[in-house]
Amino acid sequence: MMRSRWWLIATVAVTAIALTACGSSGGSKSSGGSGSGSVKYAGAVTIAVNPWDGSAANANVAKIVLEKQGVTVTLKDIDENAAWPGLDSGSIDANLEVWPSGHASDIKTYITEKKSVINGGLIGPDGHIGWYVPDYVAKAHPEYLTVAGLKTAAAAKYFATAETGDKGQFLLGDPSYVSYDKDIIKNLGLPFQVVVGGSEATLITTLGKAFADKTPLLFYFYEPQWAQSKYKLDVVKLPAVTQVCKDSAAGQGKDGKYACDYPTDHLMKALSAKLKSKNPAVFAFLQRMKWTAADQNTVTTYKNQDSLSIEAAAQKWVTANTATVAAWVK
Amino acid sequence: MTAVSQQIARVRETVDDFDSGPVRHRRFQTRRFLIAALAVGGFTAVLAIAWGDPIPSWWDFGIANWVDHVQHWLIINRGDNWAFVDGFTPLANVLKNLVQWTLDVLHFLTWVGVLSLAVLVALRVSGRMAALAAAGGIVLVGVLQLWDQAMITIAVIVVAVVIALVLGLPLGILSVRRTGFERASKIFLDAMQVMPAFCYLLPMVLIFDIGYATAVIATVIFALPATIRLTAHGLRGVPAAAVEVGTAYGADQRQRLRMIELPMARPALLLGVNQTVNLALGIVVIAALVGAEGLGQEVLNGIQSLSAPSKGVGQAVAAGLAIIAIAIVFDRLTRGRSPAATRALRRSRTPQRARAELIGGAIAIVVVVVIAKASSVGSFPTSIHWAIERPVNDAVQWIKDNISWTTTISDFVVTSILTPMRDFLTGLPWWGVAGGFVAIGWASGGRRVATTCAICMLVIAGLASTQSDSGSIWFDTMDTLTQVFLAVVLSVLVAVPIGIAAGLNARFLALIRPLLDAAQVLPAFVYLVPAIALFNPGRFPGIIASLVYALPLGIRLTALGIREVPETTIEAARAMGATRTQVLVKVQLPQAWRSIMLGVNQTILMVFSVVVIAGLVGGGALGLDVVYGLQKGELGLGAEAGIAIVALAIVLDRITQGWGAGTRKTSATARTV
Amino acid sequence: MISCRGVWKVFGPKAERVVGTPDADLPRAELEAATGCVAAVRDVSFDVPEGGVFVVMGLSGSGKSTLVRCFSRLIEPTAGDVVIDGRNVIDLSPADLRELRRTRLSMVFQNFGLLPHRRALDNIAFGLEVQGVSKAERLARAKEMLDLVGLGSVGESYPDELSGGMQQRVGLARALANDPAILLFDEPFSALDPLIRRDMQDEVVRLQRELRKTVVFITHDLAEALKLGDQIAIMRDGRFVQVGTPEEVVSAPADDYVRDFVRDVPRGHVLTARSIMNPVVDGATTRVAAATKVSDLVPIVASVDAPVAVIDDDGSVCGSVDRLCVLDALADVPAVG
Repeated sequence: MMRSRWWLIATVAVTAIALTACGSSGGSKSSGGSGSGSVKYAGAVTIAVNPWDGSAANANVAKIVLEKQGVTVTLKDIDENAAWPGLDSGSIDANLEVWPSGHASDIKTYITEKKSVINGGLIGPDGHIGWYVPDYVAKAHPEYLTVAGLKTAAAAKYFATAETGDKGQFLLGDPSYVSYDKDIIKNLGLPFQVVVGGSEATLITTLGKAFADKTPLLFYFYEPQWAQSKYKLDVVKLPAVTQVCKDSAAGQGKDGKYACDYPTDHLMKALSAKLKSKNPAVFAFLQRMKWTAADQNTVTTYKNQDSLSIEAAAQKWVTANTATVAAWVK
Repeated sequence: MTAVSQQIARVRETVDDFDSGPVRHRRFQTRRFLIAALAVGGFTAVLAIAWGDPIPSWWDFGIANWVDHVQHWLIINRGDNWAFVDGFTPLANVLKNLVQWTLDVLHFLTWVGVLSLAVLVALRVSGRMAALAAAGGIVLVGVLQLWDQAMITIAVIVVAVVIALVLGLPLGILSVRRTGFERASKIFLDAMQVMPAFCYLLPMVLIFDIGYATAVIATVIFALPATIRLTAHGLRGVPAAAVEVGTAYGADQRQRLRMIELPMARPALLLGVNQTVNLALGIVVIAALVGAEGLGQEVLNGIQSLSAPSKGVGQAVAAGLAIIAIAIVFDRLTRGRSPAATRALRRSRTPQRARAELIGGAIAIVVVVVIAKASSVGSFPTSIHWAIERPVNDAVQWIKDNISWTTTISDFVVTSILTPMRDFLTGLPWWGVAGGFVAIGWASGGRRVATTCAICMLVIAGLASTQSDSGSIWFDTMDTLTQVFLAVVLSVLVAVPIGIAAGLNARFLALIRPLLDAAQVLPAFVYLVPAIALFNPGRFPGIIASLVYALPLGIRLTALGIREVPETTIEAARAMGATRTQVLVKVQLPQAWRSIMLGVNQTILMVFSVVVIAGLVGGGALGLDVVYGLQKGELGLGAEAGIAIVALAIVLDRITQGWGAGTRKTSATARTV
Repeated sequence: MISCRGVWKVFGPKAERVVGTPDADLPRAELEAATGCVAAVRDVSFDVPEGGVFVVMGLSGSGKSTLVRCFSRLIEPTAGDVVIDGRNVIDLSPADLRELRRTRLSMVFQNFGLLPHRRALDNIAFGLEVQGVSKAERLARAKEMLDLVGLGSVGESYPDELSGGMQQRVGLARALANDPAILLFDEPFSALDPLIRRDMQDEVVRLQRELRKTVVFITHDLAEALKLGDQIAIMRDGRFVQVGTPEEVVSAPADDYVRDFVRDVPRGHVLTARSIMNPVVDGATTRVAAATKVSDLVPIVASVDAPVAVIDDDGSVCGSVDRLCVLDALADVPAVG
């Protein structure tokens, strides 16, 4: 009796597992749409949301527009690096904001070599990476906005922390962003040491703390970034980009010769090659989708200053910008 | 040598007591000391001469290169290769669907259905108070307005825990039966426990794709060692005499397992389930990184939107509370009853009545669900909302604005302790450090531990990755070592007094127990931002994070040690006129020594398992290398750093195990306190 | 029924090499120092006839519990033979050994060895369950056994709800449940109060009278040994120092060790007329049987002045006793002749 019961359980379990394995590929095919243009939209698409506001703004705007056309859109919160294997396998169809400087090897492997991911063109806004100081630092010590000023022992002492001892601290945030700071410091002969904060949260919390206490801080930052509107920051003027730096950047700075300002990052879209065959209409839409830094800032400001949800903020922008949206839809 | 003496010791227990006369002290130790000194000195000399300093380039295993090649191969071939088509992808689909099904069931039940299910199960397994607590936990998740996210997390946890149990129970049994298997698997279990999930997350994504499957597998990897070890621990706890009864009456191995060992190990096995759930909950944030969503995603979203007044740390704290609530619910579902309550219950519960209860419970749930469906109840009503986000964010802001004296502490620790210690260690030739560890290993655990230390140090030296932020894995290992060392010292300094107080005063223990539980499952990500706000980025906030994580266990094991001292021993001391202090210092503390040393040992392992957190708050070193591995896709670097972490952890683990005089209780024992 | 030949048990590395060497005769501490081995049982041989009660008496550490475990190979003997039912247990295959343990011999344990998660009835039925007996049948049999040991009403109770004496009765019932030919008792009553211990000893005597099992009984209590045993072995340091009937042991201790042991035994209850009698004398009118206990002789020799004739089993006169020799025996003066 005992034995027969075990057999039953085992059989049920095996059957269940077998069924699960088989029934995996089913996906709902929602049909038709109330498309206004000539292109016929249908199907489903999954768009990645990387952990920053700009990415969420792009994805939510795309979702609102596509859903109006009858496409089922799923947004997937995912780490930007984990998004690449997702694009490769097709479990993610699109990532609408890739900072190419931080993903040189991904672009090489997935787009150039394997061709499982397709460069979907630019999303519009440009990324700027640079060295920043709070405005009160710039006011008190305008010389620290220049390389010459930072070269002094006084600068080192001014920016020094417990972690860096007698050198000045240069604070880096999320390590996934491209960083040549060590080489810049070495090649320009600055008395500074890089402290890797390890995450954006660390960087921004430190920034907030510095503003509260009015303490010195020199750090790696970028825009678009919401904190830019909350804190008044000034950019350090680094040497203009030279050919040496361009060559070095092409090799991800591995030659150690980088000694210039950061090049502008032209933010791009990465689309899954599977989407192209599976749903060409949506693929083409995402290729066409392009807006400006001002547009994106509008959405993120709605969200951060008016405390709207990101969905509501995106809806507000879509309602106000029908012309731009119509061009994407066709 | 040890094997023989163990055998003799076992014999002494099972057979009659031997009166072999007074213990003979070993002859003067000069000879042993000379042998040890010669061996360690020889080893160090060989390193110094043959290897030299710095570590020569030929001593490089090239692991980073190899891993990077594998990664590239994986990227190119995933999707087409037969291993994926016929193996990994179907497996991933099974896991994904299991999670999805569980989630569907949870949604189908509606929130009232889930509530009544939890209450009824808690009532049956653990009694009335537990049912009340479980209900409280479920309602808390609801009023935090995190119902849907919590269901995702629960679905992932349930599937992962079931898999961990299905694999862990037989392996636990096997490791009791075959000491060879246990010895061989030890290092793998250690590695699974200590290797940061960040190291294998990206490879898992490449193999199993993003989503639930990878989350489930990462969770299983992390939780499985505890399941195996607690199963083995439970079975070993079954008195040999009881098993002998089975043998004497002709029971074969399987009968003994089914009729004696498993039923008698039941409390320990339940504890194993309980711990497996807790560990699984510890990894939800990391699971969210690969698209498993749920409460982990809430935590991430919170610390990624620090500006929004209704998100930020407050959102992370809310999600953290929900995770704690889920931990409480699972704990009450698996806790079981106290022995007294079990005895009282089994008098009244006849098999017929038990069956009636089961059927009645099932009917009750069906009725509840039907009614809920009829009145279209689904997720928890949105009108009931305990919005803690703003108050928490205001508190964090207040800290930023008003507290700055704390940085004096962190600055002092960094400049006066951490940096000099690191400079000292990295200033030494590497063979000197290696020789030192081998010597310490020999002193605390003899030849075997010394050999393990030697191998581990050679492994770390062979991880010569130059991509590391500081330039070499060895340097980062020394850096991490100083941080871990300080974290452990601080942890012991804090945990032992609190643990003594808790061991002496049951009411104090009851008071802090919920805090200890919470600290063990609260994701470190939740308190990272406040820690940075208090202490500036760098090595110190990482140490604080590891303190929060490791303290509970140290406190528990110390309290356990104190409470385990037999009443009669204390009575005897009192009868001889000892004061309370004398009783504590001369009786209780010495007897609790093993337990406290086990606490030190386990604290080390816990601190290692959050080394990555240090990398996220500016602590650099191996933690940052691992973060690079995931965030920049530099798998090779991440893998080398992960191996270094495991090797260093094993060195410190084996050394401190020697201090605990051999007995190795699992950390689980402490949960009973 | 049970026959042991040259049984050794040595614990430690390369234990089998110790047996038969001069080392094996070393005192325990010296052996351990020399070889790292501990000899728990050394060269033990004895026979127990069917229905006989063989008691092994020794202090803790003498190796007696190890010895009893060698019979059913709960502990593997290092050397020697154990023959039960004409088969050498040492040669049995694992399956045959299990069969032997299931059906031929049962064991009663020092700390009762009840399984705490089972009711008394299920504990008693354990051996039958192991054999695969159906539930109804084994529970019926368990109830029967419970009545046999006088515990009819506690079947539903769990071990921790029973007193020590009741627990050991359950243990006894479990041992009897599979109707074994051989019962092994491993210090079964040493954890009980003296009064309860006496009850349990009486219980064993009663059951043995009814059931006639072959019994090996381990104890450290000489009184218990004398009360229960047909044959007693005194064990010390793994060896039998003396084997004999209770009377032989008390009246003729083999060495000082045994003598020391039996000194406090109330001799009148153990010694018989035979062991204290003087040579035959004339003029004895009163007669007593040779097996009469000394304590029973006292009133007889007190009532007559002349010596009393001692009559052998066949009716012939084999000796005589008088007041003096009875007093000597009671006062522990060595018997003359």
